[in-house]
Amino acid sequence: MRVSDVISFSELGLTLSDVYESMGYRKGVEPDSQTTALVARMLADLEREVKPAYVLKTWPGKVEDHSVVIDGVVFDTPKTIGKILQGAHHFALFIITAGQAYDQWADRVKQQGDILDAFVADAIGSATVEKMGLYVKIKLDQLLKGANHSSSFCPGQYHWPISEQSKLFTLMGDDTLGVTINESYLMHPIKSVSGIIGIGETLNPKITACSLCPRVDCFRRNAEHV
Amino acid sequence: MTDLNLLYDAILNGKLEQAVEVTNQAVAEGIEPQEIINGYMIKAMEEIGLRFQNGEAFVPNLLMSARAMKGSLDILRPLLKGSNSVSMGKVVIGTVKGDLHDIGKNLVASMLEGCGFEVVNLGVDISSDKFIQAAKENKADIICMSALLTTTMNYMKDVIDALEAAGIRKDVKVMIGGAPVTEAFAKQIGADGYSENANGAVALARQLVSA
Repeated sequence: MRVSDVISFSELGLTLSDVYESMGYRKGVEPDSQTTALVARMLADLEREVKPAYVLKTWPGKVEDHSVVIDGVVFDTPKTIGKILQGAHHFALFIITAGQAYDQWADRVKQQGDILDAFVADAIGSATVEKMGLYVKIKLDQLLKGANHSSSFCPGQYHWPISEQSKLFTLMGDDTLGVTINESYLMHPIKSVSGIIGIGETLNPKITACSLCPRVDCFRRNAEHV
Repeated sequence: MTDLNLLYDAILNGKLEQAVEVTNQAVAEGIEPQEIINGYMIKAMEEIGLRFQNGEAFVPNLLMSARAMKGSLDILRPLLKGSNSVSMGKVVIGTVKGDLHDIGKNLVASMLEGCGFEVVNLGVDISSDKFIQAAKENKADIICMSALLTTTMNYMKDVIDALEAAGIRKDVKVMIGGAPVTEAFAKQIGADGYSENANGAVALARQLVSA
């Protein structure tokens, strides 16, 4: 199974609050009027230019010991993630990106030299791909027609080496929406996310990478530490 | 007579135009630049830093305050004479080789600059050679390195080793930061300090230059 689409911002439903949270504001806390006006202006500006996109493909696969094995590719997933994905019979691999147009827009903002504008542009990009992540999970729910799946896990999260991203890109082949990785495994366009979701009846979608992370005071934390 | 409390308020609340206006008035009235800086501007930056630390202010507040502070400093710097230098020290800052993330590094650069440090911002993907060359050319007190990736953070150790090899490690303090970096990692690679945020970086830089 393969699905891929370009999403409009109205469909994505990115809100000002999403951006505020990405800027480090706690839920329910609003920035001052100067900052809220800036965010609203920049978000409207971005919406005219940027078209986020995603691609999601599923493969049969299994967990051997703690390693995820898909089509002969063995991922060196850490034991904890391997245990969480135990019981998966298929895996969905995905790439999400705010796209090249976002990078160009953010570069233009940076070149204008205002550090606050650059910070807001970065936060909007992060909020966009986070929202895309939720969108892709909803899409997967619809495609699986209620079948159970895990949360998403990304190379670079929770002791899973970011170098493992190369294996994910190998499996995706040319089907990467133009997203590439450099020798440091950094994705281009920069606001892109790749990851893996296990599909199987026994998997628990409530255990997220965030819930595994020991950084309890992280402002991005969205789950209790388990 | 200019009310310099308005300058304090302008910097605390991140109002660049107000800060510049009050600074110009104070200069026109012949108030000593050092008195303006020490008595009001640095205190405003300390207060916004404290509020950030306590969760009462956020990164945009820090940035707006730093911007207002810089606006006033740009007016006052040329007026400082002799040993009355406004510089707290000179910092060379960059994101290490292989890493293109610059937002966090620029936040730190902006805060350091706003708090009176002279900052040479090298940008991203910076090799050890470039760090060393910039440190030598600018007679830097501190080299500040940033990395956002677990794959690039190890390059910080390469830079420290290169500083040793170049014979200038003892002349310059090294501080590091970035999402995957920790205090333990800083100790492990022989850095002089680590900070997890821009405000802490200013406090650390002050501590390192006065050590």
